[in-house]
Amino acid sequence: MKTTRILMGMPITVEVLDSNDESLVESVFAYFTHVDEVFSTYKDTSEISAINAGRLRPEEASVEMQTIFAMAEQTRQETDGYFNIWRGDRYDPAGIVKGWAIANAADILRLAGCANFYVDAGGDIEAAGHNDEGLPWRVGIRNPFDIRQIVKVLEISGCGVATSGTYIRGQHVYDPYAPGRPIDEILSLTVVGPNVYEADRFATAAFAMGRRGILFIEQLAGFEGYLIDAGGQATLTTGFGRYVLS
Amino acid sequence: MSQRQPNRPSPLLRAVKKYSVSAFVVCSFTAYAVHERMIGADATAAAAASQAPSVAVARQVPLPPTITPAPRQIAPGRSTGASAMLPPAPPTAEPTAALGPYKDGEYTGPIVDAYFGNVQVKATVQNGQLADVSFLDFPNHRRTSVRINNYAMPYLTSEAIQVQSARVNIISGATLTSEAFAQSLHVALESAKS
Repeated sequence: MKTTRILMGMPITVEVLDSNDESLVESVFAYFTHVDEVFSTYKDTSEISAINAGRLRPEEASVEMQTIFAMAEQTRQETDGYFNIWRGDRYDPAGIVKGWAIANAADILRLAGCANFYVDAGGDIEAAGHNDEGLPWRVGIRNPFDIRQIVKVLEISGCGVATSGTYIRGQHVYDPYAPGRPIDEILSLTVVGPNVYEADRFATAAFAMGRRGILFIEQLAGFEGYLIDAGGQATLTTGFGRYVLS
Repeated sequence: MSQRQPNRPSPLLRAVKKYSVSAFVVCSFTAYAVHERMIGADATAAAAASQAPSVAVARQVPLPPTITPAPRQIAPGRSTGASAMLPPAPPTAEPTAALGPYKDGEYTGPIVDAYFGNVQVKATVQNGQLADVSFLDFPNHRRTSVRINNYAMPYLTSEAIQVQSARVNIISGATLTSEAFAQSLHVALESAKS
């Protein structure tokens, strides 16, 4: 059963092989809707907007919000400050909320006994078990020069995949050390990690590091990366090949 | 982050590495800038050539992933328990794009101007529900130059990207321009309504 919805401004797809329970998939989408209502900086009614408007103090916020703030702070420390949800005048936790929400959505499916599924939100993916051919899920890496194409095919099972890039939303990745500097030397950085939360936060931080980001991923045990630069050249971490089909 | 500690070299080694990497990057960019100035217009033709689709390479036998899942760092929040503790709130409003019923078929949205170029989507409806969204037009990056470097990052391998033809289940990429995307999709789905 495969379903796509547009939520949080992006297509979210859930495919589950071992269940035809529509209410289960509904509960996954309801979870994303809930996350959006709490964390969307585009919604005046969200909790994060209340914090940014000074109507709510962070320390008085919900458990979920406290969790996100704690995880963001931890990630900031682990990435030499390259990951930072503070934008000088407001918080934008989107860089950590998305991966966290996908990982939680995958947990909803696991708790319901599903073993073969994926959750894809805007190109960040948690994939479990196998596809309908009994093989690992095949994940294509989008070509930053032409989004109708893929430039790498991975076999993924029991991990998370996240791609950070500039090619479509413009320079939405923020370098806290040079807020005005466009990050234009690299176009796309895909990270495979133990789960999508981990892959996403480190992909976001490493992308902000520019070309050095792939070295950061190389140093992380349990993570592999594929970086595409503005010249159409890709750089691979040493263990990335184990996921590559073609 | 204890799981990363074993990989860390000594502070001295790190400092040396850091500075050599920095120097390397600075030199590379100087060379790149000079190179850019010199070749200029050649880039477009070369880019077109290198974007030609290639036949997918023969299937390799992938090794099974050997990573061991790292424990999630902040257990209270990012644990299985947390999602159980925080039951999803029922959606207060159905997402507009999910409002059916639609007629089965494929529907093309209009081309919408996005920051980097145009976005146009095709919506596929199966059993009255949105089943897939694909792209017909897209913001295109002009390739600034081709193979500006033959260097790889220190000790990392590098390759020219090649278009693959293998079928995939999922695509990983940067999040799409949400507004342009939503506009094109909205119109595509309007035409899918009965």
